[in-house]
Amino acid sequence: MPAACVLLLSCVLTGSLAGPAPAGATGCLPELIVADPDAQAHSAPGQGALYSLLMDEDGPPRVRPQPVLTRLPAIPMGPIARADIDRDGCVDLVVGSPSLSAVPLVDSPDFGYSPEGDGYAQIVWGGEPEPGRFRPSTTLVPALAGLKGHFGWSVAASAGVVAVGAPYEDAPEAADSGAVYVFRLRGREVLGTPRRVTQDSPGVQGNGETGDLFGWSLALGSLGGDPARPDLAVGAPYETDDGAGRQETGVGTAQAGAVTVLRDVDAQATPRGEQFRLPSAGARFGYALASGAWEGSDWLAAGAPGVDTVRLFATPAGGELLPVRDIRGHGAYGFSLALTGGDLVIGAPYGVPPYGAAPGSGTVTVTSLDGDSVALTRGAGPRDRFGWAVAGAGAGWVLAGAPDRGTTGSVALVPMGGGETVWLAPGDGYVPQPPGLTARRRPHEISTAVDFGGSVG
Amino acid sequence: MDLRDMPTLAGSAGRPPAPRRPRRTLAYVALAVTASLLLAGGVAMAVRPRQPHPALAAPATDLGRRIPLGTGFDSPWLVVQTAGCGYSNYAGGRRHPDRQTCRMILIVGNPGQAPLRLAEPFAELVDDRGESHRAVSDVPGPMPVVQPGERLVYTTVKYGMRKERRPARLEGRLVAGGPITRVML
Repeated sequence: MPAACVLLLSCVLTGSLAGPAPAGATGCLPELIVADPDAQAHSAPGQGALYSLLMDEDGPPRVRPQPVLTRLPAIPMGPIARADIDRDGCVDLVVGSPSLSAVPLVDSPDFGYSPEGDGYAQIVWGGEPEPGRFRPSTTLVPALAGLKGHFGWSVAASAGVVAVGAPYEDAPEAADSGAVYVFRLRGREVLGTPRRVTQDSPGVQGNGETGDLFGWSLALGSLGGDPARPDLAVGAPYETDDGAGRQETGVGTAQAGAVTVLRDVDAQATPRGEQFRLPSAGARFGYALASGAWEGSDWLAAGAPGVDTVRLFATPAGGELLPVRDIRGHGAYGFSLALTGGDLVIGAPYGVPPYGAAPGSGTVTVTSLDGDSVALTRGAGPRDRFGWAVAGAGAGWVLAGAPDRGTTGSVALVPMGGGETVWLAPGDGYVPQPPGLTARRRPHEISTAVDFGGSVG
Repeated sequence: MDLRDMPTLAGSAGRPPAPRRPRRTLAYVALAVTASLLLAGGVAMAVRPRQPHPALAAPATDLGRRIPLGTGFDSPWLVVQTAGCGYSNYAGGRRHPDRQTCRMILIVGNPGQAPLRLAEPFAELVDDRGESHRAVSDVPGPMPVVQPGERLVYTTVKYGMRKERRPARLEGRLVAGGPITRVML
């Protein structure tokens, strides 16, 4: 922690897909979000904890960490989505909790929860946070209870649209083939029932086969469809490249993975699907996805950490989505991705930094989308899993999670232009411990940070 | 729970339980300790104003870290969240005067495609004198199976050992058919 933070007595954090939005409507503060999905909170193991790293006008690394209180536990397994969904000028969050189920309460519009694994996702509405109070939220649930599809494993958001992945949802005779739900919203109101998309849906290439895990990752952006409508990229990293039609297990290139782009996904008409592949065994193409716009083009990055490759796609204005180049590294390169301005952030949590030998320390690489600038790579300590989650923090900074750093996990604010990395972790004097009991209690009751930085946004 | 019976966390020095003291004496001792700590802290701050990150300053431990249960980057994993000792130990329905129970809170994630069964017997607890202790599940019955996509958070494994001992590591199989693994506590 820099000395400046000590002197100011207030350092805070913030993060997202394309960096935190500037302060918009009155009361909106730019923030980054960090989750500890395995934290013990309120005396319950694995209850999870969510933190906001609020920023002032100076931007990072000056951040003020504080807990984000949600009505239901927030236990994301993947990135946290951020967008101004209700178009009020404040950035909203979408946080999935795939390992729990939301249970409707009698005589109440609210939900309780149970450990069933149907999953849910919460839209946490932006605005001036009130310390000690729940943030206003809307809970999204799968169409049917009991599917155990782990709805909320992945999330994506844009204005008026939220997409939620349920990669462990079954199709007839195809366990864990996966599904994606697309919700349309007007303001904060969810319109009608969500569109459910699988690989067996009309307009979608491929077939829902056992263990495809379609919906593992998601990204919303302008990817070759109507520029006025969002397109949705869906990762199915365990898809076997086995040609047309449903095949027997063991046929084809195993776990090559696939990325399906669904054009105009919020329109009433059947979305137009296009599938992209990287036919290498075990590639897990589509394990992570990120999209963004820069210099008149729209960009999509898809990670294939099984072969340490990130494939970059671009859509020139009004054009088709085309692969631009492959970027290669090591250590599960492409495990996590973020696009921020003209830069691509690539997490490789099992990578070894170029200096010293720290097995599994993990690396975070920043490279420009046009490939002109030299990539910046940062490592961390042994087995930190640095780069498990990444997000743009704005103003030339990157937020990267190292959930195995120490006993609590940490996040780092990394300056892309070089300079000192700022680490934050629960118990460091700036980041509070997860909510709940802290003193004079038995160890199994005390709030315990476990995986801080396991998810960021 | 009495303060003298408060559980201890793994990694603390292996000391016998503190002798009982009158409350007033205890208060004086606490005051003196606090004063000396403040003094020592002030000196330390003056000499070394930039303290290392608490996570880095801690002794080597696997608590809170993912233990991969396979070879791939997307393998199932296990985290020992807390290793708390000092709980009452019962034998034959009676509290044992010289023994304590240690509770390991486990979190297991299975992002893979095959069910994962925790090892039975689970890894043994090795104490600070190198003695091994058998695991006992907190819940009667077989160890749980973690289905694909599931995360297990309510599993606690218990161990009994003498009160003056401290947990040092887990050693053995964590998952059925898995390798022998050492988890430093």
